[in-house]
Amino acid sequence: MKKISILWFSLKELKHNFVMLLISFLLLTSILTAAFFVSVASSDLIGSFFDYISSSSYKTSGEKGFSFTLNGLQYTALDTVSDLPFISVIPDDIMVRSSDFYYNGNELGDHNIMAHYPNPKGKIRIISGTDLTKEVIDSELIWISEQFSEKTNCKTGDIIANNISSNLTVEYKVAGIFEGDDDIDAFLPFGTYYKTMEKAGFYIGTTMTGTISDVANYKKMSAELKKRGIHSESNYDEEIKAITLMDLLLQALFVVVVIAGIWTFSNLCSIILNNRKRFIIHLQILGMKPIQALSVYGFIIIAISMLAFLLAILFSNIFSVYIIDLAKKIYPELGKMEVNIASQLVKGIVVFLITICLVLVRSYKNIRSTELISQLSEVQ
Amino acid sequence: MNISLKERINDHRDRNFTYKKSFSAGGKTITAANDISLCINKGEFVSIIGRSGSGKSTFLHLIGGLLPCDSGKIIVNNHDITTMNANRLAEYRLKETGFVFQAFNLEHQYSVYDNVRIALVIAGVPWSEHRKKIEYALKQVGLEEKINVKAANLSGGEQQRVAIARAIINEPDLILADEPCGNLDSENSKMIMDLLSCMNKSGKTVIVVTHDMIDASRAERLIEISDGVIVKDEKNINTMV
Repeated sequence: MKKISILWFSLKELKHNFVMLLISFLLLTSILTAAFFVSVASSDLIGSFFDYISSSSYKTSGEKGFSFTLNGLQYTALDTVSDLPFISVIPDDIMVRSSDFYYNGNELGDHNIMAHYPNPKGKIRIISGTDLTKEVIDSELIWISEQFSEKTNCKTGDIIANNISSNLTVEYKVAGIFEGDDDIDAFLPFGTYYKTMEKAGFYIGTTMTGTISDVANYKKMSAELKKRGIHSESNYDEEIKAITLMDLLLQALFVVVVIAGIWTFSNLCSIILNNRKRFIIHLQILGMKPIQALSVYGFIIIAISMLAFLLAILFSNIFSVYIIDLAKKIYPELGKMEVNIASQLVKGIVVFLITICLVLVRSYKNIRSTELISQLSEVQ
Repeated sequence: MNISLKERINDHRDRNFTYKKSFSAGGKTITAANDISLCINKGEFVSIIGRSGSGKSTFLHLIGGLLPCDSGKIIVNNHDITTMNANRLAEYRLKETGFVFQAFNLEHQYSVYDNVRIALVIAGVPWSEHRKKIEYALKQVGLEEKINVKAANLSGGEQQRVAIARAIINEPDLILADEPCGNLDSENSKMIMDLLSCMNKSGKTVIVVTHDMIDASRAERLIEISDGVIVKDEKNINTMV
C-alpha cells in the first residue's frame, strides 16, 4: 500500500474522530506546556540567582564570579591550578614578621609590612616610583606608604633589610611610594617573599582565592579541586547546594508531569482505537496488513504529538519570558535570565520519541490479531 | 482440513487430509469443525448449509484466513494458507478472496464510492483508475446512481450490493459469502443470490454459507455440515435460476 493511500485513510480517520483527537491534542499540549514551563522557569530562576550573587560578589571583590578559597597551599601551588578555568587566582596578602626588617639600623617591628600579589583592579595606588606588576613579582623590591616615608624619611632608592636568620639577610630596594594606608606601611612582592622564606628553610602556607565565572564551572571546579586533594570552600556553598537541590526537584517534577501527559495521551489513543476496532478489523479482512493499519493511526499520532511538543516548548518559553519581565520590574537587581532554547529542544525531542514509541507499541498490540473474526464478533 | 481449491483435477490424495478447529467457550472446548476433508474446484458454486452452530461459518472463515487452523491444511491454488503469517494472509485475502458478510460491514459515514474505494486503496491500484473501476463495479450490482450517497442512507439490500461491489472490485477468484441474505427480505435475497450467480458465471468460485434452502438451491453443489462434520456433499440437480 502506497504512502498516499495511508495518508488518505489517515485523513478520513482524522475527520471521523476529530473531537476525540482534538481533546487529546489539547490535553497533551497543556500538560507538556506546564511541564516545560516548570523546567524553563527552574533554569531561569537558578541562572538568575547565580548571576545575582555573581554581581554581589563583584561589588565586594571587584571581580564578577564565585570565589573559591584554597587553603594551606604554597606559593608554587599557583602553577598546579593554572590549568583550571579560574578567571584569576590570587594568593591572599600575608602579614610578614616586620621585626626582622631594618631601615637605617632601626627595627621596624611597630610597622605593618605585607607580602602582596599584583592586583589589576588595584587595592593599592602607587603615587610615585615603579608599579607592582607581575613582571617584578620576584624582584627584591619594596614599596612604602606616604606616612612611612614621612615618618622615617625613607625614599625611593633606599634599602630596607630583612634579617631572616643569623646567616641570611636580604636587602630590598624601595621601588615606589603608595597612597596612604592606615593598615599597611610597606609591602613586598609576593613571589619575592616566598622565595626568600623558602631559601631560609621556612614553609609558608597561604590562602588563595580563585574566581570562576558561572555555576557550570563551579561544579566542575569543586570536583577537580577535590580530585587534586586541594581543600576548598566557596563563599556561596550552602546557597548553591540549596539551589541545586531545588533545581533537581523541579526537574523531577518536570519528568513526573511529562509521564502523566504521555500516559494520558496514550490512554486516549487506546480509546480511539477501541472505538474504531470494527473498522480496523474490516480493513484487515479486506487485506490491509497489521503494520499498514498501524501506519494509518501512527501518522495521526505522530502529527499530533509533534505539534503538541512544538507548541508546548513555544508557549512555555513565552510564559517564562513574561514571568521574567514581571520579576525584573519588581526586583530590578535580579540578574540576567536567559532561556536555553537548545536544551529545551533536546528535552522535547527525547520526550517526543518516548511518547511515539510508547503509544505506537500499545496501538500495535490493539491492532494485531490472528483471529480477526473472533474480534469482529466481540465488537458487533 | 484440506480444502483444495484448484482446477478440475481428481486428486484423491487430498481427501485423506483432515482439518480441525476448536473454540473454548464457558470453560468447555467446542469443536466447530471436526475432521473435515474436501476438495472444491475452481469455478464451482457451492452452498454450505446447516443449522445454527453447525460449524459452517467456521468453515468459511478458515478458508478466508480469518481463523487459524488447529490442525490440517488448507490449500488454495497450491498455496497452503495454514502456514502463512499475518502479512501473507492479508495479501491472500486482498488478492485471492472477496468477502460478503451478513452484517454488510460497510463504513456508514463513508459514501458508497468511498466504501468501494477502500478495497482499491488497500490494493494500491493507481488513483487514476479508481473512478472507472468503481463505476463499473457499481453498475454490475445496479447501484451506479447511488455512488455519492452515504452508506447509512441505503437500504439493507443496497448495502449488501455495495458490499458485493467491494468484494469483487479487485477481481478475486474466490468469493466467500457468509449468510449474505441473513438480514434481507426475500426480494432482496433473490437479488443478492442473482448477483452471486452472475459472479460464478463469470468464472469466479463462489462459496455461500446459508441456513436458507431457497438461497442454497441456487448453487450447483450442496454441502451440509452438522456438528462440525460433513454429513452430505452432493450435486444440486435442482439448481434454481
